[in-house]
Amino acid sequence: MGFRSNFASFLLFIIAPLSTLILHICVGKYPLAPTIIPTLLIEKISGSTEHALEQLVFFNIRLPRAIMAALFGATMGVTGASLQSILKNPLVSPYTLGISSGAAVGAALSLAFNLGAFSTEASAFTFALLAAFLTLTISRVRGSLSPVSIVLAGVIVSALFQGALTLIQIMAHPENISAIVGWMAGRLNAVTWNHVLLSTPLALAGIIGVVLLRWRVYVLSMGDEEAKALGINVTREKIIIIVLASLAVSSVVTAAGIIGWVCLITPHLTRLIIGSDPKKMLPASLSLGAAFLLVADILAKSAWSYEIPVGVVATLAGAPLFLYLLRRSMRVYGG
Amino acid sequence: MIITIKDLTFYYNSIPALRNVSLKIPSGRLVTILGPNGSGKTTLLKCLCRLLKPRAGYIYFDEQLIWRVEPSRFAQQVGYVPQTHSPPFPYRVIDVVVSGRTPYLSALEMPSKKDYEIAHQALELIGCGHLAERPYTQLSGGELRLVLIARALAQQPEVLLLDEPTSNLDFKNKIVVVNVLKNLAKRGLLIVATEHDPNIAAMFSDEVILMKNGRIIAYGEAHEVINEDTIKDLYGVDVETISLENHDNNRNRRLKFIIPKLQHS
Amino acid sequence: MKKTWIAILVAIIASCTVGFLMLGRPQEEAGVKIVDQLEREVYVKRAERIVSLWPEATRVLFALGVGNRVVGVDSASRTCPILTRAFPQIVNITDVGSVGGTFDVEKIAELKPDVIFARTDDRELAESIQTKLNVPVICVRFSPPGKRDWSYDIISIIGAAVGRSQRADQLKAYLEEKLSEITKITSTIPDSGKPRVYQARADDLLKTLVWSSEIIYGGGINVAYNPQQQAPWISVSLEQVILWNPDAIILHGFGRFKPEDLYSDPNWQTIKAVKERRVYKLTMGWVGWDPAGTVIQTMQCAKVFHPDKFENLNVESEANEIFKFVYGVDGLYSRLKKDYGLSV
Repeated sequence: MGFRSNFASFLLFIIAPLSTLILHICVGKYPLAPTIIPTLLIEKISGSTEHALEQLVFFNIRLPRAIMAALFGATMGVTGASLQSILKNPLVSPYTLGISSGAAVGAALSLAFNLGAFSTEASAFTFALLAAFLTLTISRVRGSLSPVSIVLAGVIVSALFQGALTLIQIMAHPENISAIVGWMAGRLNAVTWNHVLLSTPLALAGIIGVVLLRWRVYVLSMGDEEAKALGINVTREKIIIIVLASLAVSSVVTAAGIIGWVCLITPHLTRLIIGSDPKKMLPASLSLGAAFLLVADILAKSAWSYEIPVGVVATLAGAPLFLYLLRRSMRVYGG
Repeated sequence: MIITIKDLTFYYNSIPALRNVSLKIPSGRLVTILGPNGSGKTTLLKCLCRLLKPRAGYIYFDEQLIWRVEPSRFAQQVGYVPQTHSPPFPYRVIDVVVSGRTPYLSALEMPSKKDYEIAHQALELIGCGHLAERPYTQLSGGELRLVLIARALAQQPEVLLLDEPTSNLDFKNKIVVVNVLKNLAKRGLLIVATEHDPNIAAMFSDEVILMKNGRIIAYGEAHEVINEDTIKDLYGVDVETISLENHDNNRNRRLKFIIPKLQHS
Repeated sequence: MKKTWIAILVAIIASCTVGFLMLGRPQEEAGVKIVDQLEREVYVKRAERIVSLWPEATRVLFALGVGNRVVGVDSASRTCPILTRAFPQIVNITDVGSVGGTFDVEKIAELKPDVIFARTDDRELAESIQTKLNVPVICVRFSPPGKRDWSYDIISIIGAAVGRSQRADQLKAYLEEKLSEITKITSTIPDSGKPRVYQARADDLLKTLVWSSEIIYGGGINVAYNPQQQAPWISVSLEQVILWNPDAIILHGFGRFKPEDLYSDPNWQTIKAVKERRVYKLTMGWVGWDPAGTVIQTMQCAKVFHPDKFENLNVESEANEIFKFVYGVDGLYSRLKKDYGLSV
């Protein structure tokens, strides 16, 4: 395992997400030749409607989906890496805090009782944050905000919300049950500019906040006692990071459902490529997370004649990859 | 720098761990807190670095009450080396050491080139410069301990607190660590370390604090404080001590060896 | 010592043999023999107390006139928009659990049923209930295993089980005749004359049914149909729908989407069906088919796909008549049309 030069970093940070983004925009069911894209841009600015249909497909369908995929992947990559760091646990993800179960309950409540399209988003977001807040509160009740107590609290909260979810599904109208299941599977095919505009502010705020705090994230990874001895207010910093992560994850999960594996696998993939460099770890996870989900979504939308939920592709592709990475990194961890 | 402790009392729930501890420690000394398990030595050390808050009593660094000092300012003065450290991820040694510069960084700041230079110097100081680029999961127990000491040194502290710095190290590494600490004390650092092996304490400390049941039962020059009576009092073991004159860098030192009297059946 | 061991061994073998013999003993063979749609043979002695675990069966039971004998149903049956309007008393029937969820076997037992109807997809459940309660469980479905199209076998089977074979035959004949009135016209239309249709599911505009019998019988072509595709429905992207450019779009009658939603959404504007205002809120499946619904849905499709060929077809009055024959209730279709804003 080496600490490759800045060239590898450059490759990772910039080229990977950019190239996959471009590929994502160029691929789709509607025959849109990549060469026409510059023309479309010009037309959009000039107001021409010569290629109205192509413009519609490109600007209203492809673009928001690509941006959402990149945003979601980046969010999960960076929050996954930072939570693994401060909880000293390479198997932890933002979902461990109960965010996914909370969002699912929120969405399910809205879908089960037909409360209207917009409130599904609001409901999912609210309950996702509620779950995160509950996790933090419960872990404080046990005394400290130690990594173990946070994970335990998260498990408890997740179980609680899972139970509530099952209850809702039982009480829901049968026609709506599949809507709930579909929402949870995580899909990007229904993403519109509304979704992008709703999720981007908080997601960006959360991501940027965490990346700015990456040195603190690193120091916290060495243990509460040692971080305290280095002058850090451990409890406060942990809460800030968890809150930032929760806000970001809640907003993207609200728009696209629960897409797994990106948050688990991205930090390990990143570590394998650039090593455990505290300065580069979080920004690299951001880029790689975006690239990973973009690739998964490219497959989800074009590999078969119909759409596969991107969460399924991410898991199916991610699980064996994760296994392989784990085996390789065990050699390094083992020392 | 003088550490002043006055009437320090600490309870774990309702179990007293420190009772009215008072003493004064000057800098430039390698001071060891010696005592059996449960004597309160680790508790005292952790109170000194503010990891534990005492129920009563005061600790002053020079004239400053330590609990009144801002956390990062305190961390600029006091370096702490824990007894155990489990590496969460394979960070490079130099990155681990430079994390000692954190007290000088604001919340959003990253370490600068200057900080990395200081980290390198700290590594060189303890003779581990060659380890800088290694992932620290691949270090031996002794090397890891030294790297953690380097991290504490990167804080450029005036005080160094170490919890059982020679524990779990093989013979060679015990000596390496002790040599490093002695050199640092010579450079003017105030070093306090807990220790449970009376031989190490006797051989290498300048001063020793003897603790039993949360109280200090003796404090003074190592070769005076450690003798057959005090060892019997602390550990309940009969020993014989042998003194040796030892010329050590122009300083006359008397080394004491403690030999337990084994029971023959 | 040795003798004791032999004695114990003999005792064990003897009790095992007796046990197997008792278990293998054939059950009493009294009652009507019914072969259900999973090829299971069951014997129905009485059918005074009936439990239905599948809305399709519930609807057939009510159509056969034995609704008053139903003592327990699944939750979807109790909330079926058609049944609740035709038979308001259905809310008083005990809820025993939900399809796709769990059934409360103890509650079912408490009701002391003589016969139970379940979905063909739930073989294991059926077997387990039959064994636990010693009550015959009959598995039925409008589209039997391996088939996508509907058949009216379910009516005959349930009819035989509850002693209403005559009414069952009547119902079958009536529905088949009404259906053929439509198909005799639509089957003559060449593919080039058939509209290409996209049918959205109730919960998601971007989920579509791969197979839709009513579209086919109604003289349309399902754009999502793919013979290799085994799943009943698939997810698509809006791009795909734009590419298909269907002539007509069908929205689910009991779902939350309305044609206005598509007419006002800029992303759907380029699609032919939206441009030509051919978005219809039509079908009425509610957790499975309705016996009357099979014909009515076909009629609706035929009317909107080929208005010229079905000029004289008044869907509303025809549908009311069909519901009257099937359920004995007046004006049912008109009520549904009004309550759900159906297009025809």
